Order: sequence, then C-alpha cells, then structure tokens
Amino acid sequence: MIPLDAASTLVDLTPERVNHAIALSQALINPLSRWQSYLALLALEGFTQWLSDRSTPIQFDRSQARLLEPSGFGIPAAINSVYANQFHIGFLVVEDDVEDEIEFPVSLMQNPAHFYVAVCVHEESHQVSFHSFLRGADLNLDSTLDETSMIPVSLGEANLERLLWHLASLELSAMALPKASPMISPQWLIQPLVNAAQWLQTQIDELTWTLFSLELTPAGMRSRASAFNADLTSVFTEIERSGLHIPSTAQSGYRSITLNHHTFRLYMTTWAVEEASKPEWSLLIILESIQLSTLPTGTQLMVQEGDNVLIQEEAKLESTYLIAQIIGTWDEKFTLTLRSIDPETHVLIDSLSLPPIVFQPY
Amino acid sequence: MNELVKYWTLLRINPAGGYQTEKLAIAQTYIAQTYPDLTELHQLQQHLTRDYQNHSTEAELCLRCFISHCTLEECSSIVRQFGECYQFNQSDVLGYVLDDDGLATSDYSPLSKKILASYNPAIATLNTWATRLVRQHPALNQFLKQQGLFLKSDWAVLNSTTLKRLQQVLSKRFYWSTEAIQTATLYLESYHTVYLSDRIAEGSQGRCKEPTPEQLKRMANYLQPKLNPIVSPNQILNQLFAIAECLRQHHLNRYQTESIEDKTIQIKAEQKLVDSSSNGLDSSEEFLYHYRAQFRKCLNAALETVIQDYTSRLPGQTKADQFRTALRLLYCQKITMTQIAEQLDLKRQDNVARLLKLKTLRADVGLHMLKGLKQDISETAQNFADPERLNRFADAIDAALHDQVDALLEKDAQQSKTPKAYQKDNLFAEQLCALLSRD
Repeated sequence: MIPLDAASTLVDLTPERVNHAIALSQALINPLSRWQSYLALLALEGFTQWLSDRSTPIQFDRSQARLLEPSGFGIPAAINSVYANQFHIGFLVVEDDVEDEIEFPVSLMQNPAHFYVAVCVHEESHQVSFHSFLRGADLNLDSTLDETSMIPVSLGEANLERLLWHLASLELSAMALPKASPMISPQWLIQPLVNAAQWLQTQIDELTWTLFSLELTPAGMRSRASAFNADLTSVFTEIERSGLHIPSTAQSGYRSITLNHHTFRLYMTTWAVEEASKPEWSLLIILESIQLSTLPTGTQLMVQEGDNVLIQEEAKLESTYLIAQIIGTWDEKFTLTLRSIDPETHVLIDSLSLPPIVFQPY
Repeated sequence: MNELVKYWTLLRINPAGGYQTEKLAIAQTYIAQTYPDLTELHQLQQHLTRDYQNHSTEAELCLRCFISHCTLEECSSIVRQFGECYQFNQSDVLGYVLDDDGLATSDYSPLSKKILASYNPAIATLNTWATRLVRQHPALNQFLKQQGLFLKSDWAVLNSTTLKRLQQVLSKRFYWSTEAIQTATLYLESYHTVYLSDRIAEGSQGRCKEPTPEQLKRMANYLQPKLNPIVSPNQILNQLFAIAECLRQHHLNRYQTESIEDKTIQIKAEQKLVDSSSNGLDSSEEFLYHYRAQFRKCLNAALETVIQDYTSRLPGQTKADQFRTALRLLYCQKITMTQIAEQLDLKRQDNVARLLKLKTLRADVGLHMLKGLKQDISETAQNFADPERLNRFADAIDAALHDQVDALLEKDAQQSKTPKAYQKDNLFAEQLCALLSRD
C-alpha cells in the first residue's frame, strides 16, 4: 500500500531509469536472481534521481557502482561502491511493511560501506521510498553461512535528511567502517549494456566509455596516451606484429574500473570480421593499472560465453598489461570478469563482471 | 449476521448515504425449497455454484447477494486501513463496487455478475475471488489513486517478499508444515522463473496481471521434475493465491496494530528532542544569537546556489520566471499563496506549493549552509567530527530556517495576522529578496 503523497519522500522513476534497470537484470545469466536484482537496481535509480532532483553540495559518483547478485530467487540483492563525497554507500531493498527486523544481505560486508540506505521499491507504480539509513559502524552481523542476516529496525534512522547532513559535512574520520567479511558473491559493474556494433557506427552517446579510433586520431591518441602509463600505440603495434590485423574500421573505448581498491583502465577494441562465411566480430581487451606502472600480481582477466570460460589471463610479477582477444559470431555475447587473487594464499579477494557485451548491428 | 441470510439479502447503495439491506424473496424461496435440510454452508455455496453454472437465475441471485456482503466487508476493510489517512469514507468507496440492482434478468451487468462469470471454484473460494476483484476494480483504484493511495495487487505482494520472510510468515503465523513450506517455495521458484522473468522482459508495465494459462503451463512444466505428483496449472494458481493471501493477511494484521506502534515511535522521537535540547547550543534563537553574521553569509551563498540550481532545472524560461516571481511575491511582497495563484494564472494554490517546493528548498538551503559553516567557522569544527553533534547542529540550523521559511505559510493560514517570527526578523526573506532584486 503506497501513499502517493505521503510526507515522506516518494520518488517517481522515469521510464529511462526503469529501462536501465530492466536491461541489466535481463542480461544476468541466472534467471532466478533477476527479479531481486531488478528491485535493487530500481533502488539505486530511485536514490540517484532523488538526489539529482535536489540541490546539494554532495558529489555523487555511481560510476563504479556494483550489483551484488544473490545465489537464487527470493534472496535480496544489493548495491555497493557508490560514493557521495568521500563516503561509501551501499543499498538494500526492504519490503514496505517491514516489522522489527530488516533482512540485510551479508555480501555487502565484503567491502563495507559507511552508510547503507534501505529502500522500499514499489515496482508496480515505478516508485521508491526510503525506509531508513544505517551507519555501517553500528552493524555487527553474526557470522553466519546464510546469505542474509536479520538486523533490528531500531538501528536505522528514518530521517534521510540526516544522511545528507552527514554526507555533506561530516569529517570522514568521524565515521568508522564495520569489519569486512570475506564472503564473495557475483558482482556486476552497473553500466549501460555495450553493443559493440553501435560503437562501430558511432551511433551512441557513450557516457561511461570514452571512445576513440586508432586510425583516425593517432595524434589525439598519443596526446591522450601521454596521460597513460605507457604509450598505448606501441602496445597495438606489438599486437599487430604478433600477427593480428586490426582493420582501420576498428573502434576503441576505455574506462576506469576499481578492483580491490586499485584503479585500472580497461580498453576494448572491436571490429567486424567479414571474411568468414558466417558474420563474426572481434573483441580485443587490454587491462592496465592507472596507479602503478605494472599490474598487481594476481590480477586476472577472464572472458566467458555463458558459463564457458574462453580466456583466462593472470598478471605475473612485473606484468604491464593483460591482453585477451576473441572472435565470435554475431549471436555470441561475452562476459568480462576481472578478479584479484592474493598471490601468496591464492584466496579470491575481489571479483567484478561487466554485463555481457554484444554485437548487434541491427 | 447469520451466514445463511447473506444468500438472500442484497446490500445496495443507499442514495442518502451508506448502504441498505434488501431481502430477495426469490432467493430465499429458492434456498428454502431446494436445500431445506442443508446444514453445511460451504456445501450450499458449492451447490449454488453448480446450479449457477447450469444456468439457474435463482442460484445466480443467491450468489450475487453473497457477493454484495463480501464487497461490503472488503470496502470496510479498505476504509478502516486507509480512510482516515487518505480522507475517504465508506460511501465514497461503495459507490464504485456495490452496484447490483437485484434484478434477475437485465442487460445491466453489475460487478457481482462479472465476478461470477470469471469465478472458478477449483482455484479459490467465492469470498476470496470476490475480494480480489473488488480490490482490482479499475474505477475504484482510479479514485483511490486520486486520493493518493495505490493498492498493491496480490502479485505485487508476492513479488516483494523474500524467501526468508515467506518462510517466517508461513511457519510462525500460519503454522504451515515444513513440507508445505517446501512446496510453497517450489511454487514461488516456478513463479520467479516464468512470470517474473516475463515481466522484466516485457518492460515491467503497470499493475501485475494474473498469470496467463500459457504461463501457468510453463510453471507446471518447470515443476514437473521437482514435484510429485504432477500438478495442474489450476493447482499452481490456487497455491499462489493461497501464499499471497497469507502474506496479505499478515500485512493487514500489522496495519491494525500500527497506530499503537506509531505512538511509541512518536514518544521516542519526542524523548530524543528533549534529550537534545538539554544539551548545549540548540534552540534556534540561541543559534542565531551566536552565529548571526556567519548565518547571514552562508545563507546568502546557499540561496544563490540553490535558486540557481532550481531555476536551471525547470523546463523552459516561462517556468523559471514563474518560480522566481512566485518566490518574490511570497517573500518580498508578502502576499498569500492564494493571491499568487491568481496572479500567475495557476489554477489553485497547491500548484504554487508544487512549484516552490518550499520544504525541499529549505532542506537544500540548510545543507549548503552546513557545508559553508564547516568551511568558514573554525569554532564549529567539532560539530563535524561526531555524527550526533552534527545532527544537533544541523537540527538547530533547520529549526532556524523553519521558523523563517514557513512563517509565510502560517500567514497564509491565518490571513489577517502577520506571524511574529516573520515580522521580527526574517533573515531568509531579507537575503532572498536581496538576491531576487539583483537581476
């Protein structure tokens, strides 16, 4: 039951925001986790919209936002890696008639946040309202094998204005982080789906990816490259020397990605392969570190088609790049996963997948 | 009321308000003559349903009487839950759904006839079915939406539940057995796989509709290897209804106890308020006394940013101009919202309120001021190093703004009188007018 004009904030989602959430949840491989993932994505869209409708001195950054996918149906999904000023915020979905306890996804504790916003999603009317927010430091979850943990609603603060006060002006040091727990769930980078064919037609306004053409703007490329750790053109030259021909029609893009608190830059170059009897497309992926001249040892780059691992590259000592190249038919889509593995203990520390990349010219 | 009586008394709208009870002789005679010895009521309903399906108009009348009682019950329940909060009463609601004229043959098709026509006894009891269709009635929902209330469909109730919650409700409130809960879980799994995947794929449009026979069939196929014996699509629908009903009942019970909880929460909140005001710098007057100059400076900067943000976001120059004019009229010319609506050719004063969004405006100005005070005044530094202190500090700023921003609204309410807070010293109006007159 939803009060449309309640005194508490009720946010109407725009159709574009709903469509973003739909597109990403539909791309998930496990159909049983789609619904809860969809609700969590709506929660993030609702908060984003609420904040952008306001005038606040808060820098909001969701470019690294992640969806934490549950293992099956009926288990709440969650969102983290959203930043407001220096604070890390996570999101969880709660029912609009929660009683004395909130069901808290334990996956949120893998990378603890300063604040968690509990959002009620009114899916039929495409609206969200805010139940409360929690301070990470107040949480003390029982160690449990369960994917969710019940926490008392009394820990929450219903007045979201207070969250904004904290975000706008509180000293970072005043807000402690809760203890991290090693649970890892599948995590997805929340970004618009990439249709590589549209990159070639340069039909799109890419917000998350910076597009460039290797052929057309070599000078511009080099000037951009000067900001990079090494001259990227030499990497492409090296790749071509090893026998791979990158046609002049190829289109490239890059974006930054944070994994285990380390910032990387991911390049993708794509082109259509015409010579085969069945039309194919090619995807060349390069990963470099932004912070250091070499990649952290144990960084992995994986390419999958469905559940099938096609390529797995791992950074050894002093690796500057990880490179993966793959060719597929037009109906194949590729999922990229970046992983961070402790080189000594071989324990998986962080893992992040990009929603499937497709090549659909029509 | 005796349950049996419900089958021969029809509830109708009373033009003078409320409803009236009408005894239908045809219905009473039919039951008395056809089923003189029947003691079990649910058997009566089964018999009447069967007769109705064999085209007995008398049996149809009996069932329509029964449905009118279900309709009243459901409407009363909606009014009990939401009437006070959303300002509607029983008569408002009944008008949409209690529309049976009690005539045996007529072209007119009241809701009760539609309920009967779509009723399948294999899926639910007539009461459940009637209740569901009353709640889904489009015109009723349209009315409720206008009042600000969006009634969730049963499917939405099912969609928002988590497995843990479902299992808790079924075991602790409804005492389902472990096996029954396991089966319910499987049904929900098939529902997620088929119905909810479809809903996302189809773009999640509007109110959730009942699963189609085709969807139910796919659910049955999904369940086939997991459930023994094989279930029919109807059984699935039946089970899903049953689960949704439990969740809805549970929800309902909660609503009925809520008012008491609200009070405890309010008491707690009041307690908090008392605690904080006994704790250092808090009242807005005290705050202004200490930080008057800084308050003025930060207010000015905050207003500039916020007004700029708001106007730039409004679609088109006309709206932006309207916004600034409305602010000027309210705070500089000090005229009421009603008069502003007239001047700006906005139909009602709530349109002015919607345009100005003063509550949000105040909150945003407060936020920017907080940031400004942090940067400008080193003495306030300690307020930003502790979340509780920050809350008290920000509360004080908000209270100071509240008095000044809302002073004008109070004035609107009591036309003749100019409130004290406004007359004495309204920094907000002063700074805002200075800002607005600059351009």
